[in-house]
Amino acid sequence: MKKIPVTLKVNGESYDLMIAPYRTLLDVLREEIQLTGTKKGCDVGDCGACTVLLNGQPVNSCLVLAATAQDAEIMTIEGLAQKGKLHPLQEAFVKEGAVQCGFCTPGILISLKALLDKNPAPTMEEVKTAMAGNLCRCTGYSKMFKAVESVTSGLGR
Amino acid sequence: MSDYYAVGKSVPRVDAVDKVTGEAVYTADVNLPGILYAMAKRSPHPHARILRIDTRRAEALPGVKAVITAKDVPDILLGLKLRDAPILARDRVRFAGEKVAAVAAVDEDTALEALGLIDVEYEELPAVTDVKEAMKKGSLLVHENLHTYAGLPAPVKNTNTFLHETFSKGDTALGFAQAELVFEHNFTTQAVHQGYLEPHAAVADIGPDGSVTVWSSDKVPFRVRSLMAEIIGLPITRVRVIPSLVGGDFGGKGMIFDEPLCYYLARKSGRPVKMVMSRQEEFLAGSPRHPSIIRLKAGVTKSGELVAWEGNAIFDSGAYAAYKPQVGLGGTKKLAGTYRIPHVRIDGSYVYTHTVPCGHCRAPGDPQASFAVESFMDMIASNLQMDPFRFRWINALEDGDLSPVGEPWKGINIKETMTAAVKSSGWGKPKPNPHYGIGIACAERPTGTGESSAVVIVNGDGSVNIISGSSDPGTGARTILCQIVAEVLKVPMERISINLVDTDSAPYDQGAGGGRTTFVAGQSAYRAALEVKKELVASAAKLLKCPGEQAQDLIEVSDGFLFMKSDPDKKISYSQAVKAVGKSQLMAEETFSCNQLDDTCFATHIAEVQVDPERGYVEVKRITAAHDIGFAINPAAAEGQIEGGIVQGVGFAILEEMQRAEGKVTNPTLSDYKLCTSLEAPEIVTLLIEGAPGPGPFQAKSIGELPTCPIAPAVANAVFDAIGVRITDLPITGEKIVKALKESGAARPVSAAVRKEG
Amino acid sequence: MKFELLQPRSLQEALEMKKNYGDKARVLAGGTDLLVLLKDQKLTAEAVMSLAGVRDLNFIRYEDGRGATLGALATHGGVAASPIIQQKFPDLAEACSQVGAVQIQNLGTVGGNLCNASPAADVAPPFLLMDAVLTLASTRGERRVSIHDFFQGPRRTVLQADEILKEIFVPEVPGRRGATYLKLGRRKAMEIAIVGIGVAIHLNGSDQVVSECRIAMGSVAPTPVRARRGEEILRNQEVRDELIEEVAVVAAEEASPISDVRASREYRLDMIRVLCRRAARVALARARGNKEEGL
Repeated sequence: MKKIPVTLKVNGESYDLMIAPYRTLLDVLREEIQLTGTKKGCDVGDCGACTVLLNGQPVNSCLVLAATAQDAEIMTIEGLAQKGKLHPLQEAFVKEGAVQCGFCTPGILISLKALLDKNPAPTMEEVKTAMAGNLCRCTGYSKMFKAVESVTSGLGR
Repeated sequence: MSDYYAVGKSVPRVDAVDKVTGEAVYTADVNLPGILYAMAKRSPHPHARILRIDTRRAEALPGVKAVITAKDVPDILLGLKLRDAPILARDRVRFAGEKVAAVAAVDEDTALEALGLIDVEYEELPAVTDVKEAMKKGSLLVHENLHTYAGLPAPVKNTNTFLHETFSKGDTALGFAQAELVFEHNFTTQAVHQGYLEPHAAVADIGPDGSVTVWSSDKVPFRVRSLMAEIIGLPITRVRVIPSLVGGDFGGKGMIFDEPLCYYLARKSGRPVKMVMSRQEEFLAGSPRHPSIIRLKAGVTKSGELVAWEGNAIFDSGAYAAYKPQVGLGGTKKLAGTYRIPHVRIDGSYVYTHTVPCGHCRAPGDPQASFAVESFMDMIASNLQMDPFRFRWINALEDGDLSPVGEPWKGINIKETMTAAVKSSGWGKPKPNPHYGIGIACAERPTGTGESSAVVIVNGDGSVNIISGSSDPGTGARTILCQIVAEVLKVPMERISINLVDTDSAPYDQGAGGGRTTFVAGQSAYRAALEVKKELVASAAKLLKCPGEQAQDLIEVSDGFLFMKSDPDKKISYSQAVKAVGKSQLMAEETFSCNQLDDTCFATHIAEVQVDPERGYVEVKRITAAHDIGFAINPAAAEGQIEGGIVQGVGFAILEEMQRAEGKVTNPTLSDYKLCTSLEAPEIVTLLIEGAPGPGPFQAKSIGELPTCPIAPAVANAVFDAIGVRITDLPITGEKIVKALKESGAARPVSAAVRKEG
Repeated sequence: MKFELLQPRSLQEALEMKKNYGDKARVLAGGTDLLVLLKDQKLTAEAVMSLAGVRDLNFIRYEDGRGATLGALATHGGVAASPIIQQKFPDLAEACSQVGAVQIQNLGTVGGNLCNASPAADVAPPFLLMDAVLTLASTRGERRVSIHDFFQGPRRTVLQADEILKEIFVPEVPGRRGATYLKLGRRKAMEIAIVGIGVAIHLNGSDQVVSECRIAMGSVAPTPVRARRGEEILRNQEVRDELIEEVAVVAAEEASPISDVRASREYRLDMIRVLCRRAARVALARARGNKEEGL
């Protein structure tokens, strides 16, 4: 299959790539741009480990063809910390012990970032709903809830 | 506990920042120049003879660099103990999903296309997929040459039951004769997947001199090394295993999977090869928890004292036993729970069938046994019209008792966990609505044993390196080793470093598993730290002019300094102490090995559920979990183990099931195989019961496996409390509840049982 | 998964491509179904035509008194969050908010959900309740097809090889409409419906007399279906508990569910009755303007 030129804008950087047209955004991020922080847990949209922001919205990057993301703003976990400073959610996950094996962590942080961008003071039900597309097997989610709460408390509610 | 310097504190994990920033490297993240992507061709049949494999069309596909079948790999059988599994199926496939060939290509899409071009001609054979059929005399044999296999614990022939274990105490015939009431019931549990989010992954690279480097998601790098060396026929020195972070294990990552295939594909293609299992392959050919059929029989007095007990378990092992390091599972021994029963007889059978081979899954065998025993306890209590807590309380073991099967148990602490859980949960409180239920269950699981070594180095600047080959599949083990060393040496955590090191660079370690790391690796680090501290003290003694023979008593350490207790102002830094002996660093290495331990751990869980009887929908609202932990070196990490174990247990209780039809898994996706999402996670109240002495440093006990054991029965008991039907076949689905309610008459609101605390 | 990728920049261009490629090109909207089927090798495609560049098919338009038009590429997330849809067609908003989870809702489209023609499609029951009209476009022109004529079987629709679903029109009904969509899964998210039931109740004048009842069911037959006999029972009737029960029983009789890995036929039949009864009560309460939605 002939490769096609695609320019992807990831974490503010532009990448000019030649890729097969059927490749997913997930595979291209991981294998062509070497941004391996985005994980492949199922490759069919069932686990959320591959969650990235596409124009600010969380999506499963395993269900997006890279070529169709040509004009989009893409953000991966590698873009969450700004100039070496952790995002408050990252800090809270570290501090509250919300990270165990860490494989689901990037996807969950991206989902939660999208939530807080839209809704800085969510209810716990809204937090849980925002995370429901991200499976975690290690933590039982408890410490993640606590970490989000530690970020949003003091923001009303 | 506030007197401690570094332990007993919820310090952040040493790898947390890497993990929240996406910098953490897992095996599938390893990219090497020229790397090829490999995939396996798998059998669609549960049992068939392989007549012919034609790989020519696949080899001709552009982009395909190597194809291998059984003829390309050594004709040996593998196994952690019982060796019964080939690297690639040779003449026979024994389960749907067994690997028959593998392809390496320039990308995964090409590899996948190539799989479709491999022609395999099978002669389908009858399959035995039902465990009870497989146990019958004269059944079709899954392994005809079983008696020739290495690692078989006792010689058996012409049977699918490759292991039969019995445990007993007293005389059950006598016991049942003494009993005033006898109860008997059957329980069944399903196959469940460990559900780690990271699928198995492996990379192999062969150097110009033939030496092999392997990256693996396996949690036991040293075993990967020895198995690979054996398979290839190289000395261990020529195989180096580089551990990556492990994206969840729960028992499923202790046996090599695709590492040998990567190696033989790399050898054939001359390029490094990566193989990552798909989620579907994980379900078809992972190593799930054994399904079980359990029969229990109990004799009691009218006042509720247990006098006799029989337990019988059948574990469906699937097509191979290779994934079990002890051939059997610890769970059989647990079939009489945590109770004082004079006469006990237990037996367990492990049986081959033409289904997915089963392996270790968080507390191997225990969740099955616990579901049966703790459900049964409630059924008996209900029949006796006793409060389920009270019935357990009067039969619970106390310190000094032997275990139900007559083993010496140290530090029996079950009642403390019961009291704490009952108090905290408000056991006996009025129901907020008629279909609300509450249930209790207890469990026990020993601290694991094994061998670990650690090197502790105090550098010239006073900072500290720990070199350990132990693994941390997300449990926090490496953080805990740092805390232990920080405590001994009184060095701040940020001046201690522990890195993932390859098998050439660290001393041998048995790896994570069985709840052993805090104890075994912890002891090795603790002792190495004590040794190096002695050297620091000896050096400081000279500088402080303290008499050498008393130095170890008279000199103290704090924040990286040494000083005489009598004169704390006169300090020697670690840096000075190191330099004073004329070395660049001080170093100690300790190996700790323990094969037999009587120490064990206890837990009581109380589940509260809301049932919608019309839909059969169970919502687990709250779990109160009291755990006998000895001492929590990192309370947040301990709570994390408990919380994760609970939610995994909730999945086992109500959601998860590897459904099978004619030996094939019919729901091999995370859409149809249902792990709890954040919306299913209950509120969790964790109670860490400290104080009972454990075998680990600072009296710590293990915590990794036990939390998942009592959940299913606690939920089943709560469901019974809510709607008056008893489900004895896991998982407790809506469908089963609706059916049971129909059979029992209408959904009857259960009278609020009067409950008192013991 | 290997295919040629077509990336039209306008509907016109897409229609031209579809005309040339016909069945050889599969239409990719959100990708949440198509890419999964391609990866699982349950489908193959020579070419995939992504509509990502056809921006003007992602819209929600409302005309007072007439109804709403949804572009085929309106996402589940967009529809669920639309205040006008929430207000006028809560059943549709509820259905969209129960598809998968947030990530899937951000990708998946209502048009894609309909064209995929899964018996379990969450958006199908609300559209069936609303007598939605679909506009199918091709280079030959446009035609309008009732949702009731759209599905032909599991994963089969009346779409011709050169056609693309352009938009979906849902007419507003006179009087007061109350409606809901209830989905049964084993979890609260990331589920394919075991049973999905939509019920709409129309009131004209009295709060007690139902002028019309509509019932739509998913995952219970080869296609999503209406339960017409059940609906008749409540038409122009005064509401009584026994009647609602009867509606539920008859609706279940109209279904022909199968047993599969998600549930048995028997359980599905039971759940149609339960969900139908509950949905009817919620719909009625909403039609009456009650805040308390008497489940």
